[in-house]
Amino acid sequence: MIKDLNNYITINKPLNEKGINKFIAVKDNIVTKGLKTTCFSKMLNDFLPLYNAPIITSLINEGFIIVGKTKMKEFNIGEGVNACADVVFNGDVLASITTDIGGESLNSSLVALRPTYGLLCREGLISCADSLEQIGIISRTIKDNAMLLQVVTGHNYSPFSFELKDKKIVILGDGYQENKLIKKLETEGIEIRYLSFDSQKISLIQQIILAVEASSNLSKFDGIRYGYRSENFNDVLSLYKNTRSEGFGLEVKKMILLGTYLTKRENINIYYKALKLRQELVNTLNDIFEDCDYIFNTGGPFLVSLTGHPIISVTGFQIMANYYKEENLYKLGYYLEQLGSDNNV
Amino acid sequence: MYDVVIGIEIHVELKSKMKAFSSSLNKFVLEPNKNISFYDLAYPGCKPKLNKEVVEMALKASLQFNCFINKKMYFERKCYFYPDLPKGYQITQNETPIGYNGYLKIDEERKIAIERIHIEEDTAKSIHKDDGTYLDFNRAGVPLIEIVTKPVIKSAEEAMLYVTKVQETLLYLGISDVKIEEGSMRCDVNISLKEKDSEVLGQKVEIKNIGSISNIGESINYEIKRQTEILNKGAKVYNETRRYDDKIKETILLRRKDELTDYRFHPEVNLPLVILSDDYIEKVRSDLPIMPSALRDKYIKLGLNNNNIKTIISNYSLCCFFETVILKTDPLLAANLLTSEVLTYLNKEKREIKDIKLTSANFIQLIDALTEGVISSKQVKDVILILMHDGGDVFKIIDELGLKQISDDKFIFDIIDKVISNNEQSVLDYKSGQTRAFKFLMGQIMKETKGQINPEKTKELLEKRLS
Repeated sequence: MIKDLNNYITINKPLNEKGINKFIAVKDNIVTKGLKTTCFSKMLNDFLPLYNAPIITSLINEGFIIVGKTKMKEFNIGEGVNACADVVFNGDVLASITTDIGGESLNSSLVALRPTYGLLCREGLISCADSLEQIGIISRTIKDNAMLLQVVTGHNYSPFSFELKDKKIVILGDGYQENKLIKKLETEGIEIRYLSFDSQKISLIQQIILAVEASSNLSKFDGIRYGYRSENFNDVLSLYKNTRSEGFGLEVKKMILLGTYLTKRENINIYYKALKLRQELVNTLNDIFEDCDYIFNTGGPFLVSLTGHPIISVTGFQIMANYYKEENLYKLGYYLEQLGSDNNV
Repeated sequence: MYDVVIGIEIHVELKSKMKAFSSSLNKFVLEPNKNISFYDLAYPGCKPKLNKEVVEMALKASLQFNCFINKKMYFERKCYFYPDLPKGYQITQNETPIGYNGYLKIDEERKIAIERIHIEEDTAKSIHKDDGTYLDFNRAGVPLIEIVTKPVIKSAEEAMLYVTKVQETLLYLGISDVKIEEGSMRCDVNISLKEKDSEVLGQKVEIKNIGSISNIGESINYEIKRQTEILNKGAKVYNETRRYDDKIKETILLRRKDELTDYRFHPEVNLPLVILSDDYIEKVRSDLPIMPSALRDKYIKLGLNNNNIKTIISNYSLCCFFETVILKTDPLLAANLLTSEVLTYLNKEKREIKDIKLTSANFIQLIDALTEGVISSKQVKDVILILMHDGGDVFKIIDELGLKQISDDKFIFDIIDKVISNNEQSVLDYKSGQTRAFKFLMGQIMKETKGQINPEKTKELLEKRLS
């Protein structure tokens, strides 16, 4: 039933294949009661949560079954390893519950929704950066995705009736030029505008915020109350030092060091500058959405972890909408799904 | 020779229903680690949630201390590593304390300037034993306000008076039990000396672990002496944290502070910006309870004696009880009874007035029975003991004990005549001017009736008979 065991850190007890429509996988940074939750870190190697994240509880209450916890980058820091998408692609599960910081969960061959920041309860998400990381849903179809979002929010997102005319679209980034769908939309008279943002600057802002938040979010991992504890210590200081040196991988340590450096009294102004620029970006997007329905991201910078807007990836497109307009994303997504995949970039 | 410059930081545990940022009940539990939630242990995945009641209590304190209010405030992480700090940071307020630039009046002439009041969460408790340090997380996450004065306090006496006034104020706001011995109020003193009338401040020393108000005064006086000796020798006072040892009456070095610690403050992103509307602030301000100074004035006007006023005001729950009966019955009698029989009983039983069976209703009944002459003041003492222990209806108790005072004229005259006829010499003594004889006759009459006749009435009727 499971195509590739390497995608998982922990597998649940053997399951009856008949329930495959109710099978889900969960990224290993969301706490699951009775199933080890490790964030793929030595720090939480044997950590067995005593409670479920509320989002998991709502899924279990609706009869969904967790097949296993999927592999990730340690504490979600570093370049993306997206086992969460692979297990859906492989058909192990109906969908997976993932988390996303920089768009790594948006996969071109699947339907991945990263909802509005604040729509889903984040309790139980072991986050390295609370203001950037958001829980998302990866599935094979729009219908499955919307059904799962309904389970966890209580809102009904169907039906997906959609009218293309009168929609206003903004295209971000240069990747649109060879795109057949975009050309088609232009010929049908849909209003399209083109915008660009400074990718480097946005990337830098995100990096600064991530480092600062990670440096304090990860300070609870000290071997005192749970998790990995070094065997080499003779006092409190060496307990902390050795546990954290041995328990964290290199990428995580680098991020913590960067964040610690940035939060020093003499450097913190850099972080506040990044926050200011973040707010400006939010204001800019809000202005754009005053006069447009969708922003297509075709190779532009990943904005939504900084602004909190919802984004969906479907048939190879990454599409953003205004806050709490997941319904609009599903409608357009369904329309694109029906058009077929010959519109991929 | 030197001016004394003192600033005081007070941490106060708020008695809200739940903890500051988690849903544990905020109650004191003796057995270690029996009142903890996942958040209190900094369990992976836990997020803080702001408790509105905590904000309201902190706002009450800020208003009562005459502070400006930060209407837009946020929370920050104060980062350092220590085993009793589960998250590796404390959620507190740095840039935006809820209240700032206030003052507290400590007597007719003096006001102490308040730098800031802010909200934060408490750490766990470290208990150092011979075989290691034990951690009790019951206290982790308990809501605190920190009240910081400007360095304007000039003496031990002023410091003790200030802390006493803070205690009284917070007690009467109903937001904390402020018991230093129990740890619901903790005082740290910062003290330095400077050249007389100079603008240049000296090196301040921090004194922690002060166990009582008198220890505040003692530790300050000891530090003044210690620092004076150092400065007189031409030596330097070091930047230190010291603790006060009550047994040897000295401050002891805990640690040297070589440089300003960098706590790497940055915003707590899981808690949104808190906005206090003008309407909300005004509503809380208008609901502020009455303070001891106003109560004092009120009680003076009612004619209570100073001792009773002092006793009642220094016992918050007794005072609250008194306030419930004060308009409904004789306040002087009520005050006397509360500060004597009731207080003695409470102290003996080590209970609070809310824990005993006496209620406002039956207390009022009792006082009314006394003023109406149904029972004597001696009998009141018997009845109130029963009320405190078992509760009940005053008149039922009076009947059961057969205590009803007799005020019937004829009955009393009969007794008087009997006693007079048995004590002719005393009557003659009285008539020849010996007032002692009257007292003797009264005594005999009371003895006849086992104290059950109304003494005032008896006196009146005896005088009539003898004239």
